[in-house]
Amino acid sequence: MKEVETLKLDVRGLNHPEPLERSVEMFKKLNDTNYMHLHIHRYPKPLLIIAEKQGIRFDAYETDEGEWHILFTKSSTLDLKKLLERLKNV
Amino acid sequence: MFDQGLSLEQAPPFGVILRFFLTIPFFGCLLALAIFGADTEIIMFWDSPQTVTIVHLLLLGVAGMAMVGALFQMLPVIAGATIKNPLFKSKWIHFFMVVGTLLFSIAFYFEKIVLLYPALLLLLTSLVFIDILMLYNLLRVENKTASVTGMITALSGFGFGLLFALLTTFTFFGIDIGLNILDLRTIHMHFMLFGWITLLIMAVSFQVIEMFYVTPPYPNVVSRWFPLVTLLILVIQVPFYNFGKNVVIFLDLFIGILLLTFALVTLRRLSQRKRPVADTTVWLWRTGLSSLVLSVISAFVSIFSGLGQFFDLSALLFGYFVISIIFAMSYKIIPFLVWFHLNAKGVLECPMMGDIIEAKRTKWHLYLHWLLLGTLVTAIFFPLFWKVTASVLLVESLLFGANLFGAAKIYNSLKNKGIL
Repeated sequence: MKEVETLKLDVRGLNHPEPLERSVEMFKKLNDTNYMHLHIHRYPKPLLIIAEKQGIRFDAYETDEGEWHILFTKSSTLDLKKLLERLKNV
Repeated sequence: MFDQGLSLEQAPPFGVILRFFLTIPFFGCLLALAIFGADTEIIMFWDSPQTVTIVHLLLLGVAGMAMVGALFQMLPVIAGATIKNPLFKSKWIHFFMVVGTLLFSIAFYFEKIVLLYPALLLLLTSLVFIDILMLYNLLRVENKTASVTGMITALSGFGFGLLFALLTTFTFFGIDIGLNILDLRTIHMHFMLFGWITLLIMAVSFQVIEMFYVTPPYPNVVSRWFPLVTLLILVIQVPFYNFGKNVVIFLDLFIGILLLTFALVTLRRLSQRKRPVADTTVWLWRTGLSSLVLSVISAFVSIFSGLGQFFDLSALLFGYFVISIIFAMSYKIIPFLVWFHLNAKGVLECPMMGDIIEAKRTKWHLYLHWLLLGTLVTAIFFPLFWKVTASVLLVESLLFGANLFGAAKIYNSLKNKGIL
């Protein structure tokens, strides 16, 4: 079975609009065999609207410190909830 | 895991917001022309018809457009309150506001008082409608953050301001309602300046300062209580206009302390940014907030010394604070919305936000804006300088307009090239 590639992006502490611009740039690298793991200091609603418009699935969770881990993928089969659970247990 | 709720419907069409923001420089130019044409010897008499026009061109034309446009954007996106048919509603509200403000300005500036009737009808209809529409939608929001509560408080202050505008108008046309017209005018101004404009700026700040500039959050006591306490003071103050002017002044001091604290806390937040890169918008915020600090101090000096020039200085600095924040917000909101809507359409050649309005153009605007402050202060002492102030404001408004229209042009040239 082919390994699922993780594209990591940590934009915590970057000024607006860098987190959004960097994330959208990375969206362009998404395909059926990878997913993007975004670590961000606040909830990026506009980014999620763009993702939804572009047909990118996502799931997210908030840490106790108020930061967000968000997974994005174009794959229709990738189980984002399971990946998030794994991330939470790290 | 995902509990914030997300709907594509929450992003209003760009045209809704753009319509209001592109009108700001138009009224900025009219404001400059009105100042240029005004009699420089009576411009600082706040009840002279030309000055009434100038004040309303600033507060209805410039600030009103910015505030209403910003609310159409913020309600769905920040507060999660969806406005139905925003395009249709924004079109007629915008039309009524523009025509109403123009008629109001002509009525006072050229003393064609008959035009006040249609002007007030258009303005009150559209503004009361906006107030009720926004309040209705905000009150239904379940998660009432400090920003949402702040916006509700600001809109309540706006409602009071409109009520006293109506009462002032009745008295102006000779209908006795038992209150002195000058007091009614002062109450109307208090609600509009502090209960509406300042509180909305506060509510927006609680959200955007932390979000745009990655600062620590505001202290809870500021974000939760300042807007409510300010509005409460304004309401409590009303009966004292009839039987206790000293209480009115005492409560004014209290409002001043709240505004001063808000400005200083925000300036402190801006100095606590995690990545202290100061772009034009940061400087515009700093400029505006420093102006608010000086405005409050001038008001205090005016109260304790009785020197009228300090009152004039305070009023001018307050106006300068308002437009500084409007410029700061416009230079954040418009490039962001161009970028956001193009990306949502899947436009591959979408420029970076920093290229939508170039930094050198906003810097020029900032320098002109600082020059405007110098000319404003000088004009208090040398009235002929109002002509220079007007000229600087005209150039500033034209540059601001060119910057915003440039952004709109980029959007229009790319909006149909999306792959989605």
